[in-house]
Amino acid sequence: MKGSWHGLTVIARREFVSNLRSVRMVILMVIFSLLVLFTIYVGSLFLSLSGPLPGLEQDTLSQGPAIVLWFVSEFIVFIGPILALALSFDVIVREKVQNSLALLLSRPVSRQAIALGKFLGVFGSLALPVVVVNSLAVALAVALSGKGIGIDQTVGFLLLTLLFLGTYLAIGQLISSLAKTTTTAILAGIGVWFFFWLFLWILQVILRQEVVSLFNPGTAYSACMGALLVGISPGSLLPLWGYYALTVAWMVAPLLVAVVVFDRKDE
Amino acid sequence: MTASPAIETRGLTKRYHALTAVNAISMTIDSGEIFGFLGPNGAGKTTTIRMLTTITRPTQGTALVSGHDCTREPLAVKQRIGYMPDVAGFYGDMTATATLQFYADFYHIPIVERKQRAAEMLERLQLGDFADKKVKTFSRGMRQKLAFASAIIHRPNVLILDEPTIGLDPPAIHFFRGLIRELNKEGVTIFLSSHTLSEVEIICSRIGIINKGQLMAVDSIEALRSRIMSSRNRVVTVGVESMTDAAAQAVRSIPGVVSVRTEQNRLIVELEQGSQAVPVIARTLVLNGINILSLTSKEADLEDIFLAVIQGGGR
Repeated sequence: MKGSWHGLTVIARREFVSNLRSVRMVILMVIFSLLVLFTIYVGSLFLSLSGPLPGLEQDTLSQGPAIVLWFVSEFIVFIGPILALALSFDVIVREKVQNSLALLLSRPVSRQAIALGKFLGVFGSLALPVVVVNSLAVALAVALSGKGIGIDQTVGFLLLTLLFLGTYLAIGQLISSLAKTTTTAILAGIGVWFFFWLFLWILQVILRQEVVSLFNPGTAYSACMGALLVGISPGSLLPLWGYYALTVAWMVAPLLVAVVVFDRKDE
Repeated sequence: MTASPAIETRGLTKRYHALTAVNAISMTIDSGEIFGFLGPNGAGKTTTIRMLTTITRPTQGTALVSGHDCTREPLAVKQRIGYMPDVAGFYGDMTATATLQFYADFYHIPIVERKQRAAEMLERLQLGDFADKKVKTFSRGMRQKLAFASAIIHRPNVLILDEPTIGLDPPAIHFFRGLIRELNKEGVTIFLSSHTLSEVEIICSRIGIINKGQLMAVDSIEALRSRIMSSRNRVVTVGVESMTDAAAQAVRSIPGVVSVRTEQNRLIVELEQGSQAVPVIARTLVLNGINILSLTSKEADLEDIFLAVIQGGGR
């Protein structure tokens, strides 16, 4: 098992470095950074010009940077899945297509360690720029509002965002483990995004059951962010800790399935 | 206490749904051997190799490499093998040096030694000038060399090569052949799967022939040759200045001669199994006024052996 853990770190390091240097990552991060900064600027401007927002108390608005970060988190619910799926959809299938998987599998490392190492590498490579960009977002929000923000809110904002992105990275890796071609993986990734954004919403409207929304990772993330940053009640479906647990479970469950699927594959 | 065989399989079987790709293969390859693994396309060579390298799990049976079970101790097996697949892909964004160092890292080789070994390997494989070039710029031959280097960077006990020279030009094939011999002299057991029969005939001490998932024969080429030759008629070709019908008729009447035919300035005589009539044929031709220019009795080459085994069984 010692060799396997070492192998895991070798794979994670390669994925981390390779992703950080990739053109794909640069493009995605430039888009992400610009959109985050734009959201902060527009959010701050909006707050300075408008009165209280529907459903938010005047006290909440006075928090300044926290509410701007809440805007950012709502924006991440939309763009985050695309970002994460775009990075992970081919993490395994690429190895099959370029015929490098056999060379990797013949090294002293278990299949579970390969799958986990790849996830950790891609996760790390996404986490680093996201933490940097989001930290800049916090700093900018503080600067624009002229008010401070709690360390618990800042850390919570960063951690929850990473968990949410990790969820879609894990889903992307699961798709990649199942797919035989990169085209199939891309299409499945788009399908997953539509499923969570459109299909579940339609289903919720048709069934008039709010519980359907719990099947969308964005619901738990959004509920946690709302409670953490602007004190919005998460609703009656689950207590607040339930949403936190759900946010963690949403990342862990698809990751475990992805590892098991890859382990059982007979390449 | 005797050392474990380098590779040992017992009833090794792989099924994909209704298809039995490898059917109950049992063979032993001793340490220090160069073992050739032959078979037509789709015979089960690569599937067998993938089980030996632990990439694929057997459906039934066992495979041991250096005494370690491929199913129960895959990491121990992987520590001891080097594997070069028939089509080796690399990460195009890495240089040749970085690629070798990456693969070497799995074996706990310290970084200084990794760098040193990577440089040595690239020199040995004639890739020294391309050490800092990205792999995506490499030709097929260069990739094959890099795959070979990555298979031996950790100095394995057993080297498993799947069609290592496929698609290479003659100088590259010659180079690889020399390298395989060198490694074998250094004590590495070689398991070589190849379509190139001449290559196998030149470098392998023993061969195994697989067809439709079944191991048809395992032996030295010499033993298989004598087995094949003892069970088939022998063909003698006599080069002559000119041939007459009378001389041909005289040869035809020699006991043990099955058939005689002339092709331009050659007389082709088929003899019964075990016939010793070659000197009699020569004498008869001379007595009939025929000038003999050459006389060859063709031995079965590996192609004959291979075809005989896969067509009729050769166990």
